[in-house]
Amino acid sequence: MSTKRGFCPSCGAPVEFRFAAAIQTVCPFCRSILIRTDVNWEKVGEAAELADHSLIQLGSEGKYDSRAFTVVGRIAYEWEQGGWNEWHIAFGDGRSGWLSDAQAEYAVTFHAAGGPAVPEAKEVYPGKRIAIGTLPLEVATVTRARYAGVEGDLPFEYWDKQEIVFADLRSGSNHFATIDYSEQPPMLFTGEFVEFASLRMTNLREAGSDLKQQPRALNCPNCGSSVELRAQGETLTAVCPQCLSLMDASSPIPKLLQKINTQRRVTPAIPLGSTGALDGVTYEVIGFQCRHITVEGAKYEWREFLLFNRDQGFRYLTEYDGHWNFCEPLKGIPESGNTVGRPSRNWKGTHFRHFQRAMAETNYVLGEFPWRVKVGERAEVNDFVAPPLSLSAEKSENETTWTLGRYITGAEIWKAFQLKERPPRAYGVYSNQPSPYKDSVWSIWTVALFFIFLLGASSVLAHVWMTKQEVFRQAYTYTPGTPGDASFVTSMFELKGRPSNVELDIETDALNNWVYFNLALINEQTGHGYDWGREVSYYSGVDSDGGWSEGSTNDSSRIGHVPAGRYYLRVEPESTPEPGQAGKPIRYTIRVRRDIPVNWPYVVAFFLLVLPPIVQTFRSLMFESKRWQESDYAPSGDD
Amino acid sequence: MRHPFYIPFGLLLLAGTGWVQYYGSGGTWSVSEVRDVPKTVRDNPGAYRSHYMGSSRYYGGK
Repeated sequence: MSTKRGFCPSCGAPVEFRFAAAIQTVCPFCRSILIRTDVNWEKVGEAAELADHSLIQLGSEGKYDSRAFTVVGRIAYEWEQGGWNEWHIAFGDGRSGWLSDAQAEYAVTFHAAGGPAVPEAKEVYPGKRIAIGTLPLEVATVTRARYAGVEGDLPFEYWDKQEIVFADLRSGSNHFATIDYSEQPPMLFTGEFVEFASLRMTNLREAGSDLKQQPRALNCPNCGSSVELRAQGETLTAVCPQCLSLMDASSPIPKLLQKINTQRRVTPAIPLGSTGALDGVTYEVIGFQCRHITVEGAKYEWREFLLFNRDQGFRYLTEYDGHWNFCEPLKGIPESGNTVGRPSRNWKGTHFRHFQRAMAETNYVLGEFPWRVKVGERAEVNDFVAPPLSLSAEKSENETTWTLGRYITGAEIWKAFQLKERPPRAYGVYSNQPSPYKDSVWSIWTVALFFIFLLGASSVLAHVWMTKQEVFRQAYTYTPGTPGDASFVTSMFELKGRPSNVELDIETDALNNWVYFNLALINEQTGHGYDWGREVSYYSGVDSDGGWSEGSTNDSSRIGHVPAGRYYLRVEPESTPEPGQAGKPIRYTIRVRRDIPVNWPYVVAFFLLVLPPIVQTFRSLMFESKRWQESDYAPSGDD
Repeated sequence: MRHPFYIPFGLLLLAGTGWVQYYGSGGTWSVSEVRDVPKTVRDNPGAYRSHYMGSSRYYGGK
């Protein structure tokens, strides 16, 4: 990068231009704003002393897209929610861009000179979608900023500004664009968000020197109490711990912003100033606020802890009824989903379903904040869930901010911050609380299906493998009403092999009659016997309703676990002759089979196998039902 | 183990089902077992007194 030297027309001091194509610079000695004319530099004004809240300074160097750059200039802005810097960065090839630095959020952009037309300032509002070329973007913030000052070399004249309107545009990924409405036509800058570490910057404002010194203390402009600052350089609003007044902490002499008249005192569960490591990053708790929504007259209050890390920026811990979330502000805007009848958003491949829309109101604050926090401040909040994640869009008049939350247990937080005692117990089911049943339902059904497959296979195997051997078959005749003993014994038959079941089938020609059989299966060798009785009856006829029949002419009975041996049957049929059937014989056949497969154990096992998965599925559905009961989509009849 | 109770439970059911099948399931509940049936039953079946106490005697007809 080439440099040029000259002399300040105001004080005569040598001025070195780091950016050869600079149109404007500031004399580092007398702070005169100098504009390049044909051959000379002309003083057009004086630059104000700029507050240094950033690690970056003129002369800082870094790399973007593998190209080295040097910080050569700066424009500082202020607005109602704070301030930010636009650092002018010059690359070795003579090109220059902008590195914006706002509350530890960094983006690199380039002026899209001659780029696509952009809408007028009055036409932009948060949520408006604007396509820059083929890139779909959404307006995240419309900022009315105050020009706070300049420093170093700039590629254009920029010194006589007052109020400037900016529109910040974000995408579903990392893209970022800014429309600067201070010029006509408006200037469009396009680029992307970057991680500070990825810039590999050097020659910074001595990281850890003035900014990382011990917290500065302010005196409350209302009660005079000492107010400790922990995120010095980032804090815009601080709260007096004594009188709870809110003060502007951006200037050495704090200005009273809001006087709070309340007797309420809330002790944060995680004390301010506590430090703890979450996801490998150490954060300090610097702020605390209670917020609530009101639904059908009922007030639901939750608590938010503001965490700060000098390199990572700000994070949040939120707590409601013992349920915690670790939240990170998003740089991009999640894309709208296509779920019919219910809004949804997609973020990095995860689909989030809309849960609730409500107006959130801040009702209690403690500590310090990098924005203008205010008690009574209201914002529209839209929550989307994909357990254990959640997306939260907070919409105010000029801004929509998105936050990605991850459900975290109180125990994890207590461990991270080394808090004493136990975390408060969690009640109910929270919107993005991961279901303890979700994964187990699928896996238990998988295991169940495997068992059912094995059960089916073993059933098929049993039907193929079991012998079903017929060991005895004999036909008999019995005439009811015949005097004398009807009992008899059969010939011997052999039951072989392992203990197994025996099936006895009786087939008769009984019609409108019944026969009761007293049966005994007796082992001829051991004298072990089995007694049982079976009835065969079959009736049929015709009446006013038509033909009818009841019973059956056949019967089958089965005895389990009968050992091998030589057996015979004792059979004693009995009946009474039905009217008109006296002397009519009943013919019947007795058949004995061995080793018969049965189905009932499989049926019982099947139902016992599916019972636990069904119970688990039911519990999972109940869990989800409880989750959505608190949403805008509660099943009818629920609040 | 993901399902410390269900998997052993399922294995037990499968084993039980196999056992019941292998050793022959009954299915007729009202069977009375009798020990030491006298050998004279073959010669005089009418003298045998059944130990079966149940009765499913049907007195039906529509």
